[in-house]
Amino acid sequence: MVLEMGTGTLREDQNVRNLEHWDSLKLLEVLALADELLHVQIDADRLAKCVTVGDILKLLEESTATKDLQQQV
Amino acid sequence: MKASIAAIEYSLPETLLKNEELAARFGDWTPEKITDKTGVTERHIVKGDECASDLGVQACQKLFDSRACRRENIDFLLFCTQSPDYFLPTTACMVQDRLGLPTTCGALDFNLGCSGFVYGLGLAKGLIETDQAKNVLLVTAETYSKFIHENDRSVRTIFGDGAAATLIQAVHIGDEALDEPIGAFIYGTDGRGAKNLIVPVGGLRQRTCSGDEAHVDEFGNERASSNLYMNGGEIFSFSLRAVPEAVDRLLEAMRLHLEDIDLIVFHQANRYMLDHLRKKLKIPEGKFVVAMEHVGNTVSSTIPIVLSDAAASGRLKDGQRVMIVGFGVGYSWAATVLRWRMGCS
Repeated sequence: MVLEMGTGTLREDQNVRNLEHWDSLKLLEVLALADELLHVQIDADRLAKCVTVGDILKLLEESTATKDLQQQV
Repeated sequence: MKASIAAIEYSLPETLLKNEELAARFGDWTPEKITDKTGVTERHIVKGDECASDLGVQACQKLFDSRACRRENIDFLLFCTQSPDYFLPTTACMVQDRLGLPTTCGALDFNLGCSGFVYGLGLAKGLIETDQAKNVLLVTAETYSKFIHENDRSVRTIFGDGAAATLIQAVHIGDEALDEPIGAFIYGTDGRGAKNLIVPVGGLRQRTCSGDEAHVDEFGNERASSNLYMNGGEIFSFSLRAVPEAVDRLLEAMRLHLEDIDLIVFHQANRYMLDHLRKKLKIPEGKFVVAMEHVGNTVSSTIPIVLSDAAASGRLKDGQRVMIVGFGVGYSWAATVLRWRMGCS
């Protein structure tokens, strides 16, 4: 939804910087969605360094895992 | 005696920078897209020879012209800016002279941005409620445009120049008063965020940078080391962490619930961030102010400008509780609740 593309059209190896709507505000939208839907705050600098869709997914997974671990401790 | 806001006036420079001009420069963004992304349609920008102190003096003059108080009665001037006239002397000293304030008046500059107005209220409350002053003039004045590269879309679309003059007076409040005109304060500081909103070169840490040429970042924004740099993503993340926690701490300190607050005014950073914070905190739209379309982010003046307009339009009424939260550059943040009662003693 953030990248304004149809569901199921993204591939993990796709380079986000080449996508039509990718700009600095898109970073904010990903941060906002992670906060709203997953209740995690992902590292903005790491997000900015992501090159592919897969990189973003991995960052989201790691952030969620860290949050779960912190809640257990 | 308690400290209370008695009057607010503000001054914006004449020159308008509209989205049409920005869209012509940044070809791939239409004026509507800029409004959509930032919440700003136009912002006021100083001319080359105008300084923050000029805007501050104008705002103060408006305050005196409105008969809110007489300049002879001002006994303290607090001047909040990150764009001083000089490294020294203190800009507030020169403003005292320009306004013809008494030489018995205290005056100082303090260097804060987005949190500056709320910190200034805290300082004014401290001065008044320890009997050091009776009529404090708090001026917030900023000209970030002077630091911004003309080809840096990330900040040029957002920031506007402006100043506000707020009169804070000592008032008697009766025993029947429900709560203080200016309530408890929550403060916060996290210097780990310093690098995320900064003008790297020009201060004394690094006065000049030889061969300081502008470079273009991955989003096509151009800036040199002597220009303003903002890491929007990091600032956003910081705000999502700090603001909800500050709101909780403040409500706890004042033994209030969010439902007890009539109006909520956050620093007007950008509309997208404000909308997200509103939803995250479950604040009803009617209680939450977003009002930056015609002025942009005026840094330390965003909150007093909103308060002044809200009072003038009737959106903010005497007797109402208004929560204000300033947060950003530093990182620095502060929050308080006001029991609104405009008018002078």
